[in-house]
Amino acid sequence: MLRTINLKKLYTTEEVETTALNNVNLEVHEGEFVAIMGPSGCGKSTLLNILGLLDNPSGGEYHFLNHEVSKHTERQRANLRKSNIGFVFQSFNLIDELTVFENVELPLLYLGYSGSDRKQRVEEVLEQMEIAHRRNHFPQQLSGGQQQRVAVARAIIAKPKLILADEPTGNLDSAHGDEVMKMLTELNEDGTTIIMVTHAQMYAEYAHRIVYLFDGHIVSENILKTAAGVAAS
Amino acid sequence: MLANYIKTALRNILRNKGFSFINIFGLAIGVALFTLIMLFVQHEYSYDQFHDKKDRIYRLESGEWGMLGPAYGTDIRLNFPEVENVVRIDARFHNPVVKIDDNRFHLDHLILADPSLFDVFTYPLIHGDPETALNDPFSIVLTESTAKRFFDTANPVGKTLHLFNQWDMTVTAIMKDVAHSHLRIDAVVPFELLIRMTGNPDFMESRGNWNFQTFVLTQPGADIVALESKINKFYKESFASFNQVPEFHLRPLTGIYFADDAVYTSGSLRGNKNLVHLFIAIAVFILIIAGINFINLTTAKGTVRAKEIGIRKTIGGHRRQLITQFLSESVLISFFALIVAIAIIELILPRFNYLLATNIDVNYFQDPVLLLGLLTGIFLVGILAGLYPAFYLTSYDPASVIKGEVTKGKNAARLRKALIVFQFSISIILIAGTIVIYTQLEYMKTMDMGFNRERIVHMRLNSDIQRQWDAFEQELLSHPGVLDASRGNAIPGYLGWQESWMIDEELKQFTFLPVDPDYMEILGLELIQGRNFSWDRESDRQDTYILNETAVSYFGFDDPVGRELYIEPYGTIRIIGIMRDFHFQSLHSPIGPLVLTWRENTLSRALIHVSDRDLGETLVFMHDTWNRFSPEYPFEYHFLDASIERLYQSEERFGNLFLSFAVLALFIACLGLFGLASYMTQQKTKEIGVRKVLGSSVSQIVLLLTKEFTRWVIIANIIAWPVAYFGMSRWLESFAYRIDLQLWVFVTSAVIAFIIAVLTVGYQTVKAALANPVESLRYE
Repeated sequence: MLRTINLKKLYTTEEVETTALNNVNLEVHEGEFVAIMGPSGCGKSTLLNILGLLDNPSGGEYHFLNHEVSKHTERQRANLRKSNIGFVFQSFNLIDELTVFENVELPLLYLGYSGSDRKQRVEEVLEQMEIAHRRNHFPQQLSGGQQQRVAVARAIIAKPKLILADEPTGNLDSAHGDEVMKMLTELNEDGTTIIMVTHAQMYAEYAHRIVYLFDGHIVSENILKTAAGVAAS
Repeated sequence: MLANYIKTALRNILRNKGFSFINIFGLAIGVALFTLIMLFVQHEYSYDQFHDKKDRIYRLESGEWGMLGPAYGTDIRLNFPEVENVVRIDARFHNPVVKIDDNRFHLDHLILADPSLFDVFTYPLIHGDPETALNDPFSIVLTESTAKRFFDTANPVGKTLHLFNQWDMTVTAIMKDVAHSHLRIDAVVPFELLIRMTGNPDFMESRGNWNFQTFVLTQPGADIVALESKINKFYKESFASFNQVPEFHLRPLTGIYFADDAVYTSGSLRGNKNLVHLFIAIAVFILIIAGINFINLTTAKGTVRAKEIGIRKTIGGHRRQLITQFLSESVLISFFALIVAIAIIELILPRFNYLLATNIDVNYFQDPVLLLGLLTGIFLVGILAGLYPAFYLTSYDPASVIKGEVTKGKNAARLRKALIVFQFSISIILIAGTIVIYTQLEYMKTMDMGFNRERIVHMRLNSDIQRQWDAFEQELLSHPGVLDASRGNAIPGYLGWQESWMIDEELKQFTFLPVDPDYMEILGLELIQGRNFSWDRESDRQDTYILNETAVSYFGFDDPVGRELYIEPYGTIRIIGIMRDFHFQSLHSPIGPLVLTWRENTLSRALIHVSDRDLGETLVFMHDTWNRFSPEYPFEYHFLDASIERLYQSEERFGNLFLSFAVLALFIACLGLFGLASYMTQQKTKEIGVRKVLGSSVSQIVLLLTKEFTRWVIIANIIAWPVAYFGMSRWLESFAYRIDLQLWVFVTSAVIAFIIAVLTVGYQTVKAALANPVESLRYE
């Protein structure tokens, strides 16, 4: 699915150069559920942004679906991203001016689906996420758990091969957190690859494998279980 | 996709009502003003464009003279094969009285013209034959509306009317009303009538008497430059004996309206090209100011939109798609602005027409060009105003906006400041301009013009009163409120009679003013040599002249008083006095040569010096007396001082207009500043909170927040002053007598702009400074 070789990321301001990632080598297979853990500032989100093609690395290689993408332009990355990757964020990141239905529909708009196809697909996903009754509400009218369900619906609407979740439970109470984790597990069981950044050990344990990151390095890996049909490497 | 863009845009507009209002309303004012000014520009450029042969019609001119003697037209018609036809026009007659049965009417603009008028120009006739309409010397052609007014019928051909209380004229044709022509025409009578009016059978052969516009219709394809030099060669040969022969040139008909170097013309409407250009510039600037608000507020609001942009990018939106989205949004806002602008146009059109003395009509559905222009224009405005924000906002890096680390956008902030400075510069320039115009106006209205203008009533005399003047005057003088009375051909400021003398074989043009012996005294004009005309000397009534100082030096006379001179084509003249120069024209012009003579039959205006005691009662008495002598004509009077002020009517209008522009520009700029101030104080909430916790006082906070705005206004002044100085110096150059540009004008403009800016940001800053610091820190 994806593989990084000696991945590097530097942030340079006028005076200071900060190394966010240093020689990160990570391979994730199709169908895997990987959790990334580590303290604040260890580079988790930077790694996730690069894996999600939101950002380019400063050095090293990144192979995504057999493409070497580390030198891709924003436009090329967007094209790969929009049909292959879904995102779930801690702060949900729904567009406030759009309704639940419109938020979920948006990726399909950018993929150029027809109106009737979009409507059918959005209704399906909203049913799946049990949020269909709220389809005409705006994000501010929903609870946190409901908003995250909408965000997950949006992430999976285009049937991506990979879902990147950046602390998806961070803003939720434990009941809603469990609910979201259940959804992600179900998606993974259906074949979607998931990479999740989290602080919470109990949620990380939903994954097949936990990668520990510290000061931009991978310091250890913990294999919890083997994904169906995937050979642990 | 577009539906999604529009939906997002509409919801954004509704969500940020304050910002949307500023954007839409500010842009609407800009668009409305721009549209109105452009309509005015179109109106100005459409003069004389309707003539079919406009590209072949020229006016023969000489130097500053747009009028020539009657013989020149004949010369040109007979001697140049390149010339197809010639028409001479006398447009000096304003407001003659027409009598039809027992009814009297004023005829606003009567012209005398050769029968070729209808061949050269395109003045279509509704009734009558253009070939013969002006053939009979006592025929008259009326415009449609004049015919209706006089006869209450659409076709009065064959009816008669009494003109100048002297001639019975027969209506031979009805022409369409004349609009957008530099010649104002309500009725036309044959040029030949001049022979009877002057009583001079040789009048048409006269080369003096430069009072007639002479239009030349050239053959198709004629070489104008060659024709000009042929004409000049012709006159050099004809006047071989003269030292100096006037130099002639041909001015295209379509260039006449804006011709500012043809000083001497009468009965012509004249446009001001500089003014039109200035207005275009102002229109563009006001539109830019409104567009700047849009740019500033949209980029300032960028942090709020950043999240949306980040999300759209994350889930696969290309930058181009996002740019399209933002452009559609700004176009949408512009269309809302257009709707508001149309309402504003409807609201201010009457006032605008009044200020510009135009009659512009806006009819969107009958004028597809206007409608199309507005739609295209507003689309472009939307695109242009949206371009920078669109590119700027979509440049956000999705990874960081998603995390909430929005780049603060130093470049955009710097641009915003620059744009605010620009807006204020324009406003300050307009304020300074307004002050200069009003100051110059006041200066002209109150400047000593060298004659007495107080408590002088003047009125036009009809032939009844002219005939019985002595008795009428005696009757008036019997009233204690009437101090003195006299007659002249015109009052100062309104002298239009031009004459020329051949002096040392050179044609010398001058302003000519027939008066009676009391005229100089009533106006307090001062003789510096010789004597005034005298009632006791019968010989003063003929060929006797008083010159002003300028005329003496212009003519090159050396001590002429008391001498008899032989002048072509007049014969022997006697100069009996020299008067001190006074401003007999408006202060736009320097004092020119002026010659006074005493010629009874041309004294058509009375000047009455009245006492200010019981003025109302005196006027009633004058009215009664008038009615006894001339019951059929209405008593119409004016005060000289008011008439002098009217000379500066166009400057007055210009000043009012400039004031309106300045107020609007400043208003739009303040709208933007208000929006930006609210955004900036929001941004500084945390800083304010921290400072207050550390012990800063409210006034220190207000000062802190105001300091930045103050700096902008100061920079704006530095830019505006030289521009305003240069621009207004140029404007002042159009006056022969003008104020000096002084520092106080600029300082006042600066202070006005500063006070308004402080008031605009004041509310926001004080509110922010007074807020409880706990409130502002809670945001963190």
